[in-house]
Amino acid sequence: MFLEQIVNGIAIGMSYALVAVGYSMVFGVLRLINFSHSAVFTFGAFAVWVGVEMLHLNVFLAILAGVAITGVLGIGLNKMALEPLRKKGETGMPALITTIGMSYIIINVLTIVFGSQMRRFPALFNWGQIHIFGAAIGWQQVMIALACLVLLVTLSLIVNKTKSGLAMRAVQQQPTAAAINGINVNHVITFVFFLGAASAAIAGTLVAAYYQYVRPSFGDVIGLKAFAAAVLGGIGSLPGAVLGGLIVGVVESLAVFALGSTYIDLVAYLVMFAVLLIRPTGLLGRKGIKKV
Amino acid sequence: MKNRKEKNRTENVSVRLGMLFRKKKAAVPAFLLLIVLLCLLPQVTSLYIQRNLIMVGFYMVLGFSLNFVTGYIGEVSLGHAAFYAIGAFSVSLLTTDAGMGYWPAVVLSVLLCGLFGLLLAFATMRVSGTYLAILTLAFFYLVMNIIQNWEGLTHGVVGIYDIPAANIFGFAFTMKNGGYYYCILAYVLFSILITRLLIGSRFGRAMKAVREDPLAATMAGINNQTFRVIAYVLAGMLAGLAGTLYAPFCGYINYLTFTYNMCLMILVIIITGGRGTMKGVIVGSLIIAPLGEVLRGLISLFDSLPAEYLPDPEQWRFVIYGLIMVVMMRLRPQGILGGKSRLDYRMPAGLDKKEGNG
Amino acid sequence: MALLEMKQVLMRFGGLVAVDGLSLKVEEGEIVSLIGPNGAGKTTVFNTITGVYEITEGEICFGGERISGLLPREIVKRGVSRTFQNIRLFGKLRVIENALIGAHINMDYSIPDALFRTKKYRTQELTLHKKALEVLASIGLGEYVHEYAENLPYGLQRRLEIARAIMSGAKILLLDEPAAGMNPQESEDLMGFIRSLRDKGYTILLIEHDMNVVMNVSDRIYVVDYGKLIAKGKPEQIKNDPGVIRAYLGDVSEIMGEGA
Repeated sequence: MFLEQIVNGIAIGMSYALVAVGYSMVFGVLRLINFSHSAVFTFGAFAVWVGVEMLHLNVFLAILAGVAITGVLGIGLNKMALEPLRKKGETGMPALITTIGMSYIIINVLTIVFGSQMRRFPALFNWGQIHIFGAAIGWQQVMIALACLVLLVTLSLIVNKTKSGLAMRAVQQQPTAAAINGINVNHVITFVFFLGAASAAIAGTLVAAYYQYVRPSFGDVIGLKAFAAAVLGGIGSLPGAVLGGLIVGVVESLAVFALGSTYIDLVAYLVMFAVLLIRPTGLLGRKGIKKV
Repeated sequence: MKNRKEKNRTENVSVRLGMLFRKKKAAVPAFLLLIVLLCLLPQVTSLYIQRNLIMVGFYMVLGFSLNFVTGYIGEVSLGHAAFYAIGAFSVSLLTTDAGMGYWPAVVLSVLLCGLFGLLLAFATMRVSGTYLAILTLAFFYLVMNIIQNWEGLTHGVVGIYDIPAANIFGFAFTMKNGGYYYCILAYVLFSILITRLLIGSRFGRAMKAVREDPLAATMAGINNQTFRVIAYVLAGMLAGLAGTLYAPFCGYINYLTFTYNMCLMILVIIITGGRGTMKGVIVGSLIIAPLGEVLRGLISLFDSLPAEYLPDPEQWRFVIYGLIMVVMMRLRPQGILGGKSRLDYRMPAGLDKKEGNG
Repeated sequence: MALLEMKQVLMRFGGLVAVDGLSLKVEEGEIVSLIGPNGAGKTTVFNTITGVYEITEGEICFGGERISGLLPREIVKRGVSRTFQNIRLFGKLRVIENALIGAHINMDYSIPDALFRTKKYRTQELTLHKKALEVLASIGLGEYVHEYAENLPYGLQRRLEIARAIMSGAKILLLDEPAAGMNPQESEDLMGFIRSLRDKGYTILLIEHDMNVVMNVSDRIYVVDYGKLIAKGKPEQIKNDPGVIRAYLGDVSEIMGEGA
């Protein structure tokens, strides 16, 4: 039982990490926490669901298409709503309220189109169980954790080893200097929104496969937990997101084990409150010097 | 100075109206007339209209409540319905399970909401912006989760039935006798009064300073946290007060009565009208609160169409709220009536006229 | 006893030493300037005095009492007020509101006082409104009291910052480049204003790049470079100090030859 819970925790925690990375990437370049990220996550899961259950596409084709569409949605949100605000220099509360509004639109349009009830989502890796040390562990969990790991490594390679990644890091450090050196800052931002949305879509698919359902309110709680993970690890830090995700996921699973499932969601929220009260920079985040 | 005077001559109607209301001779009778008209309203309107007016009233009080936090301190709170819920549940449990009288229960509930406001202000003291918005959302989920699951206290998913009607000196409020209408009207006036008195003092100035530039506020000797706490406690108490009337008004509440949609609606109200202004809250709630009913009315015009082709007004209402948020931020982030007033600053009474005009 | 005294103050950010063992004294009623090339650490000095940064080593005293380690708002209450190099006004509030917020620490009526408009509330508000109008008039903002701060031209915004600092009732004013962006006439007026402040009993510590202003108003000057004190003295001494000239212009003998 104990080992199974740990594996469950790792699987779900890695999914949190994948969502958390999306928060971190956008925060890195824009110093903006994209409130609509959890709605994009839900949209991604639905996009894949439509491909599989309504259009009866091959699962991998459906995932590919769903992820691409969600990535485009991410770009669209930035271009239509956020970029005009940046041009006007309105980056504080107006940007926040805009992202809140966008997430609200996405969720309610999904509700109008698909209804608010649960929809069955295919278990992607329904390959039975493996028995280790007397514990029965689902392939599903193992594969989800592995898939997340592969994606996180890929993202980290994109950020650290490619030319686009270099441009991204340059914009993170000094947007003006990056622009002067010929980096198209808007392209970088677009790219980041695409990557963030696409990874959210994959995470959405994996989490939906884990629970085997989707519905419009699906991302609300998970988005919040992923944010808790990002905050715990330190917003803006990729390893931090993974660490935070794993901690939140495992602690939550163990809390189910110890306390039952009634108050399970509270664990992540309380972690978030505690972190933001005691150490707002998170475990791996760095403290900046305030300029006066 | 000359320039200013010339501007005064060409100013538009709204400024003149504002000037008029500043003159005591005109403002007092106009205000009294408005109150009398508002008092007469339930006598001449249908119960349907009255019900909608009451809902506008509830949202107006909630708007004034959130305005302290979002309008004056400048922090977006996404969990404001939590206070509304706490007020409602507290008063319901005190008047049913604890068998307490209505008004003592109201006082206790409002104090409890103030305490939660304090708690939230404390828990969020080191963050701002989106972090804070997300924490307030988590606060909302936390509160609702506990209300849903703590069966021993809140009756869990079943909710609370048969909440006794609110009453004053044994006179029970109903829709028919207008009790709820007059009570919420009194609460709206109370909200206006308290906002007006507080914002026109050092407390309001300090809150606005914290909103505009927290560091510069600190350097002016302001303890930012003190004023955040004041705003959150006041906001909590005011929303709680609304909740204590909402519960008996509904007669039955459960954990689904208070939703994220409600939180967002309160926010949309002050964004639409103009955060940090009183007229903004009033106009915002007049526009936003009846929107659902207006949509329902519009859609019913097409009732010759088969039902499955008709949009669901509830869901579309929410999409419209989202659109309002995005579009307002793009076109008029300060809200319809927000932004800079073209009226002069009001000098305190007793200041020499000449001095006041600089 | 000096009104303000920094003793061997060290301010380190990670590996960077921004203020390096700086000692400085300002006597009551003096106008003292702090000058140095860009990035010399002048604003950091202000930030250490006003408590924005917590100093790594050393001690800062005001009126003989230690103020280092106190919170910024506690330091203001002791009588140290400042302006900012990059203006930090409450832009969407009116000129008079900005001034009144500066006087925040001089009001102590309670919430019930405000809600019931008690005598205490009325007296304090009236007194400080009067004072605000007086200060604003004296600094040349008399006709702008109703205006919104962000609508003021740059030069007037700088004045409003000074007005806000004065309203706190501080004994010492820390002015961070008050003449920046002013035309010669405006900075001439500013000099007169700074002198008049001293005549009213304020002590002034000034950061300024405009050498005309510095040399004309200062009683004494401290020169810092790389966070270190490189010279101090009266304006005439500083003008001719080779170390100072080197800090500003590089090694002058290299540029101008032997004769310099």
